[in-house]
Amino acid sequence: MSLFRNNYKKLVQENQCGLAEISGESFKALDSMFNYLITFEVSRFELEVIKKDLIGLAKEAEAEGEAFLDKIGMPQKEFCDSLVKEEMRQSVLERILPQIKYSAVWLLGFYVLWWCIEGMPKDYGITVWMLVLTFGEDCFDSIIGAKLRYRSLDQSEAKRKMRMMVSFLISAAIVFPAIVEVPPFEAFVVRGNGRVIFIILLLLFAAAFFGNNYYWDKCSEKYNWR
Amino acid sequence: MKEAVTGMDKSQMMKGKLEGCILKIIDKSETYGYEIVEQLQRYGFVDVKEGTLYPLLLRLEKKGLIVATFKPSPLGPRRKYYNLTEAGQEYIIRFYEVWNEVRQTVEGIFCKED
Repeated sequence: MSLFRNNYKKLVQENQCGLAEISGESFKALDSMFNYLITFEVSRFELEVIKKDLIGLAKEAEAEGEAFLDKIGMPQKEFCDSLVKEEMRQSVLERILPQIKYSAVWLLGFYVLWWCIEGMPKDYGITVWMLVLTFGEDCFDSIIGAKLRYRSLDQSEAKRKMRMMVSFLISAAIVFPAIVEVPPFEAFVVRGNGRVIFIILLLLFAAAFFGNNYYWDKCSEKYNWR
Repeated sequence: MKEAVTGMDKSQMMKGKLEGCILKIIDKSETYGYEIVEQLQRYGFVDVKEGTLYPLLLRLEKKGLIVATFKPSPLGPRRKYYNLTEAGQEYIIRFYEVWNEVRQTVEGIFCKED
């Protein structure tokens, strides 16, 4: 167990390397299947375990000179749907933990940056814009972003790029007022001793970071993925 | 009427028994996906492909009836080999008992001389 790098990240990286070794039709098939599967509320760790198995299957098919889809022997959608049916639901904890971690990182980052720019005043706090920048993107992703991820196996690159562009424009509309220093966004939500707030945010970040790693490592014990 | 007769799906009938049969194959010796498919096809599950088998293996693994280990294969990529757990062994004993009961029930109805 590593304190700074959890097993989920290791598995994701391993799969990225594995997928990079696959080419042609097998790559296209796998890529569209993974993009399709991720639109369901499936357990992220289990999804990576499945990815690893499918990448292995594709490599085996390549070595045997067979097409990956022929090896599966059924339509991609039917196969993916049968996987989703296998109770691989995402837990609430799995859904919120990474968001808590990223929120803690961003909040600490924004606070430290602006606290330092302002000359580390004794009396400082968390402003509205820091919260908007920290949580706006998360809220957008969980409420609107999920709706933009079109559930289909034949997603063309152009369509995917278009969705990303729409997603980016909506995100920009959320964060723009915060960046241009509109007065209501400059107001403090929490105000007090700058150093104490910094230490509290640092502790929150540490708890979120290590808690997140602990969760994923515990989660990985259920599967034999190595 | 004729459609109902011709539409009777053998594979559909066999599907319910697939899990027990997969476990029995794994029980005989440590094996991997493709080998299980081959054996099932040889025994008459002709429609079974790796795409049908994989979700079932995933389910059995999650139920704790089988365990998987990655081992090198002669083809290159590491292969996932499956073994039966203690719970899996208990499951196939129970599966066979239930199967015998079902078979006797069906045979009782079909073979009964009036």
